[in-house]
Amino acid sequence: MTQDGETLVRVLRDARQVLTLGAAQWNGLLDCAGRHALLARLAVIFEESGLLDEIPQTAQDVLADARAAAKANHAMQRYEANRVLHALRGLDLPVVLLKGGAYLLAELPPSRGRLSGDLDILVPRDRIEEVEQAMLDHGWQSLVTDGYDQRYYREWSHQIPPLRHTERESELDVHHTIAPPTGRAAPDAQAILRDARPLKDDRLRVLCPADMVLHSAVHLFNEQMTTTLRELIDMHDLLICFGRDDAFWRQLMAHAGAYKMQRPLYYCTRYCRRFLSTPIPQQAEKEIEAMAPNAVVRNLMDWLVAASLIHERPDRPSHGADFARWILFVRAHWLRMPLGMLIRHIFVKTARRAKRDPDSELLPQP
Amino acid sequence: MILSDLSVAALSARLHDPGLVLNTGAFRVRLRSDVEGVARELAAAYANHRIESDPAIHHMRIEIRRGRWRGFGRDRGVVASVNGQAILGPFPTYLAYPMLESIFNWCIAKSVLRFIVFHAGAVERDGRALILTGPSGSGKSTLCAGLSQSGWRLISDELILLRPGDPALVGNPRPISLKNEAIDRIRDLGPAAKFTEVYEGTIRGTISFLCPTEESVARAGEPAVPSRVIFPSFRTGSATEVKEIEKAQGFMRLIENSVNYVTTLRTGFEAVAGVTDICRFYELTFGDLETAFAAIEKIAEPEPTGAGAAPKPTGAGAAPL
Repeated sequence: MTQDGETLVRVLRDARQVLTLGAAQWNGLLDCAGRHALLARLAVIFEESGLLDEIPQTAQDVLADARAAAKANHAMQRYEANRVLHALRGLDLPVVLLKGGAYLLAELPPSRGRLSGDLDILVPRDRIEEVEQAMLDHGWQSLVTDGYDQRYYREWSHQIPPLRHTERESELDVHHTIAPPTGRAAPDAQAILRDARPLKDDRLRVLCPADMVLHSAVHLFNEQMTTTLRELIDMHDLLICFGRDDAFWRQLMAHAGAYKMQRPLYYCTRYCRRFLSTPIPQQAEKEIEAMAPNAVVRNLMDWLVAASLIHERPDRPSHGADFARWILFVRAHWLRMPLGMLIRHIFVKTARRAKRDPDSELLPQP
Repeated sequence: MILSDLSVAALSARLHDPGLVLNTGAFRVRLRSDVEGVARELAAAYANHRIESDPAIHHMRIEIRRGRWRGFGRDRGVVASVNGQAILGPFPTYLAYPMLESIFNWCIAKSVLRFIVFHAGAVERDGRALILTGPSGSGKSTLCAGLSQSGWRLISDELILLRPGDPALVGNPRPISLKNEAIDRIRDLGPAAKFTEVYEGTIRGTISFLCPTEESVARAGEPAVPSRVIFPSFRTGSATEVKEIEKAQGFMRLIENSVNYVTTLRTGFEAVAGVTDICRFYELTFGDLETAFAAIEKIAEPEPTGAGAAPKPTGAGAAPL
């Protein structure tokens, strides 16, 4: 981890640490927090700790900008959720919000200073075509035009190809379950939808606490780990917020077992505790310890997570971190699909990279 | 310490490492560059600006670096990055300094939300500020440059910063970018106007930068309350005409020229509404500078104190002055 990264993690864990920083460290902290979209988060934790007036004026300015940007982002997300409901009116369908949108509309702690680029929703699989059609009728367009990628999403992914609104350029991901059906995890989408909790506006729902944590863990530890620190903070906040209730931990264990998500849950608690000092009750800790991989895999993951947690300055790249990210990329694919399918996927992607199709480079690659 | 206290050689060394922290009034920007000539241009453009001694916390870090090797005898070009992230380039090396100014503007327009930012210029005299705004080519920079050479203090040009709350304009006097004929028009005003090199063949034609006056820079820390908003439009050969416009229309035209009105949400609305309450709005059509300056002086005159102190409500298509 870089020095700036260490400072950032230290301050996230204990805001008062910021009072010890010199000017050069401040520059490193703000730079690093900016790269991880965590400036507004810093502003929030400084405010909550009553430190905002004690920090240097220039830093206050930078944080004030970030705070305002997060506020605008939140307004935009609320509006997008409103537009999705508008497009889906008449379908008589509960819309389950996932990730950032869920934290924001359910007013959960991870939403503090959190920026979201897109809105994620979950709908029943047998209604997904109706939902997609309604979106297309209301100004959204598919971002994926390529035949192979379209098929990839539709057959093997847990979402349809991402949509983008033609005027507002906002992105929408419509999911039918919380992890790829071809992968190691085996979520029961019907049970997840049934367990979802209504918000004050009862057309909207969010996942039940256990599923919310598991979804975040699966997303982070079984997929590409590109926004590791941000998502680790989400889980840290959720564990603190839900963890006061013993029933939450029982449900978390039960769902992790039922949906084969023990391993991501193990990593979630391990790294939350390691980097953010998240409190985990002893009983839960003992049960989660039984989900651990063997020592070799565990040590390897420890190294991969530590190496890729912080994004270095683009002008000071690190080969070690690049290598760790490459391994995580390979691992994510390994966990996502069976071997035969993976070989085929690699073959198609390599053949097309060789053809150097410049358009496909700009799109999110599954 | 101000920038002209440093020799060009010392400046150049600082630009290499650890960077020069320039205080432009509202921003402390760390500039780094390994491109020859940037130091000399900064010395001309920011002669009177304060520089912070390191270690200093900066708002942003702008780097102008030589691009990758592209073949024998070919210009490597220059690449601009902000906080370590490459943003623009490669551009021809001789445009390194104008590129630095563009990227600085880009940074402000893109990331600053603690102020309502407008594509405009502003000057102040006797505590009363004028905002000049409108599309590119309307002549606002030329007018701003001219006024700043004749008794008005330059608050800011190209992008102005409105602090919500008061509302007041925050000083950020930077070199004024002048294009084509405007360069000579301002040179004609007298020898006090100091310029950088002249850059030909940019996407905006020929450009040069006017160094802000010593007084403008020294008083950058003084916020100013706006009292007039002027929408200039330059037309070759046109006579100078002034038309006061309604406040509602002025409000709409102000937000059209704001770069972050939408993202500042309610704060933005309230600040622009505050400006609208205390300002009068004018359209100014002009074909020559001399009569335009005279018209602006007249627009800027305070309302007579006493009985008629409050600005008169303006009817539709108010009478020309």
